[in-house]
Amino acid sequence: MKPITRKLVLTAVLGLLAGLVTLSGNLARAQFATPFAQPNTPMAQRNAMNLLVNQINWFQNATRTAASQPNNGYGLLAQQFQAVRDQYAGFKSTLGPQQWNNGANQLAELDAGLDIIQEAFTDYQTGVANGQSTYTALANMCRVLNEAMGVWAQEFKADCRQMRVGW
Amino acid sequence: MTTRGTEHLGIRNQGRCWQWLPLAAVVATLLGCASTETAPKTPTPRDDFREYRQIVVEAMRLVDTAMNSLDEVSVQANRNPRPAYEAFAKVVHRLEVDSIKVRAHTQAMRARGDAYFERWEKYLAGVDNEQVRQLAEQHRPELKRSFEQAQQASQQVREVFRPFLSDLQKVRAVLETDPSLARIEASKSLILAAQDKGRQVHQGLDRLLAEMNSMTSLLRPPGAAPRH
Repeated sequence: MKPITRKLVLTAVLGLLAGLVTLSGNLARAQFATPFAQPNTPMAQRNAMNLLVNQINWFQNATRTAASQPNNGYGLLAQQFQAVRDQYAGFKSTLGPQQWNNGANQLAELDAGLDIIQEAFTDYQTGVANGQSTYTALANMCRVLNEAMGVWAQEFKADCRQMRVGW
Repeated sequence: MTTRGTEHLGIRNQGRCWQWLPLAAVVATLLGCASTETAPKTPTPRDDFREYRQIVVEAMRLVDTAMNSLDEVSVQANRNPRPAYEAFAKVVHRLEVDSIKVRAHTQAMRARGDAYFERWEKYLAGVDNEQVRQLAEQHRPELKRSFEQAQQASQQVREVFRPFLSDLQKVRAVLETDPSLARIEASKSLILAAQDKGRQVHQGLDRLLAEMNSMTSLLRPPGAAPRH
């Protein structure tokens, strides 16, 4: 093979490989940015799981800053919590029939956990309606949401291991 | 072609192979970066039942602590109620967060009904311990009865817990800015209502724990020491 042709081949192969690596990462991010029905391959499950964990981290970050924003803290957190719910729904759509069957109780508990955490928003409204200051009610809500989401995330990861998510 | 030429060609071929090795190493590295997982590990089955029992025990402890701290606020009302109030507020916060697990379990049991028990049965049918498998099969009717009792107890807990927590939150809100004797006296009926509901929650958790202990003893192989 002539040296110039060999160099061209080498360059082309390296370029192709680099493109494939980048593309797979972009595909993963683009494919799971919105919670539509996903394929239930191990990679899809791992990606969905990681995206949900990231969303939870962002939510917990938001709880730490929202307490100092009495005007729009509640709305911001409500929006972020819905994003967590949406991402969780997207994660569930990647599970296979056997995982749904074997993990039915765990999934029901995770669903219930999110419903219970959401009660913190109602508690805020009740507190303010009963005369509590917006600032105090918001601070209480932020603390509960931050810690509760941490507990839920731990349960989620443990359940994923048991359901063999991503394997 | 002469032998010498062939040999020379062979050496040249081997040289070409060595030249491709760095590329192969790059390829291997890139492929390694593209896939992030190594061989899957064998999952460790969680002992859901034992974990749930522990969660129930923890929930009972939390409810007791909340009731005690509420009592202490009343006791300290005409002395220095502020420290008692601060302790009470912390306990309420702990209850709000730490009760989520037991509430999620009870809600899931109610939502899934018999399917929850059937799933648990399937889990028992697959455990490594043959004696436990046989005991689960042998005591199926008693286990089912116990589970139904546990479901009813869960329902009681679920129905009362939210109002109990709500009353505690109201007491916290009322006393927040001014935990004085006058305020505590004015909140007496609310405090009594919270204590009453707390007792009902405790009763429900007690019943739930009793049924779980019953199921545990049905599944314990003869001679095995109880584990808590």
